[in-house]
Amino acid sequence: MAAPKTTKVLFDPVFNNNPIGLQVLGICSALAVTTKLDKSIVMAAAVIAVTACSSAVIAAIRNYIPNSIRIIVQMVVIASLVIVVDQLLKAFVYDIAKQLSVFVGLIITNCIVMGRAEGFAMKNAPGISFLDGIGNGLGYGLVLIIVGFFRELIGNGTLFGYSLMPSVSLGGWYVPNGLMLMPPSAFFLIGVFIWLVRTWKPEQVEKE
Amino acid sequence: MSRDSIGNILRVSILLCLVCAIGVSVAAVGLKDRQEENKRLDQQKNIAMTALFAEFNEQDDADLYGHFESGQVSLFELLKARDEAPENLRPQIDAAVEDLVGAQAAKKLASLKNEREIIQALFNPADGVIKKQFVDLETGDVVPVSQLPKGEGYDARAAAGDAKLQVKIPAERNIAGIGTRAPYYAVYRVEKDGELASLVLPIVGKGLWSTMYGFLALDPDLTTVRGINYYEHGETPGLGGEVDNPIWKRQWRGKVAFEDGEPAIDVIKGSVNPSDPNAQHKIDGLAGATITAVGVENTVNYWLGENGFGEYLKKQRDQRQAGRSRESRVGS
Repeated sequence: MAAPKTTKVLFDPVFNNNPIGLQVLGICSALAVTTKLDKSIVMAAAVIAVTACSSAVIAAIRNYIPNSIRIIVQMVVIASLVIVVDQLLKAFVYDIAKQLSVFVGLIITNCIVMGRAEGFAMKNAPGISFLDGIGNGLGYGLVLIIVGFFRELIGNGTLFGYSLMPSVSLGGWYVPNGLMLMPPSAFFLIGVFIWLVRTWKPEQVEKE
Repeated sequence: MSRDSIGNILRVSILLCLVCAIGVSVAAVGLKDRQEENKRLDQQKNIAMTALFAEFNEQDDADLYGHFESGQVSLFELLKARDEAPENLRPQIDAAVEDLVGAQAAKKLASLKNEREIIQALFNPADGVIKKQFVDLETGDVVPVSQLPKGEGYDARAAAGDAKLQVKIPAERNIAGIGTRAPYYAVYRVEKDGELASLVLPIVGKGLWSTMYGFLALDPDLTTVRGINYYEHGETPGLGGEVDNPIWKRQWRGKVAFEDGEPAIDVIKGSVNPSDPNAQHKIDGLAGATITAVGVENTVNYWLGENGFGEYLKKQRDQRQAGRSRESRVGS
């Protein structure tokens, strides 16, 4: 098998093969943590770190992992890394960790992380697997950040908590769209994102 | 040895578990102090914010009101704004800080830059303005730390869940929906120049989805509400989560929490009619979050009532009264 090219591995998952947009993985956390932009960014960083490190670790030991327990081995590695990330967040960005609450722990069940471990890291060297993890984390993070941007702006009139469109409840003019703070709005935004990407790259459209 | 032999499976799983366990433990133990510290600071910040805020009105303090775009500004916002504010506003901001914590403490706080240091200075047992004391809810007396079940390590939230320490709340009085309570709770006396400026009580009670933890601040008369603040809850953002809305919280200011010695807070549906004779007890409801709003009402009334801090508040009020009459006698 020819070695995958570095830039392709790193940037393909961002637009060409976006885990949320094309593979439609990891949707549920994308609904839950995108009500505010800062939350989205921290969550994106956490997922990038976990995907990259778990892919690298699994790739490093891939030749020793018995086939019959490979999924469990992957889970153990991923779960341990997620706990470490959760501890770090609680120690260094407590406010945001408090808001992300259970969803950091749920990175364990994020299909993207395990999908990359099983689909890529089991067959490739640690270095390139690390990059693949970063790339897929970026693809996921990009969608999270876009969705978080619009949900916070339209739902609250703020970005990073700073008021851009002063809302009526604070004496301004903007009537916040409460729907944007509810999970369904993330579906709409992700739908629009997928639509735009597929209009730009028609080859992603599934054959009928 | 083949990769899929039983020996190798055992070897890989045992080694992997060991390595992962060590990694997780190192992270958890190594970061524990920092996390605990964060938690404590977060709570202390909430206590300070519930009691320490300046009030500006549009006529008398037009400049400050315009600058902050708000009639209620927390001590933290004041201190933060101090350096960025235009020259001419600075003395006014300093005066507002001084008005909250007294001249001596204001001077000290003004020299501190980050929030962490400010919180630490406020809660410094030696010369801070916020003093913590433990109260026995049964008797209403203040309990020295040395007499608490675990001394310094006593935690009311843990004690409420500890079968050995907890006190069961009889069903008919369990209006806050919590079932059990701790025997002792920490209350915070906010002092200005040695005088009580406000008293902050911890409150906990059920909302719609979650148990909500917060603080309620009372004025020195121990009857008028100064502020309310939840630091932990799991209510729906935009609906019950609006208990965090500053505008909603602001209307608690000045409400009279008692009538004939009984807690009388009433969170109503819709808006309070100012001409209502009972408007002083009433709070606007939260649209789309009736159950959360009722939960807040019950929580506040529970903790102010005889099964909460009622006894303590009564004793404190009597003491205050006694101190007053003694003063006036000396004066005459």
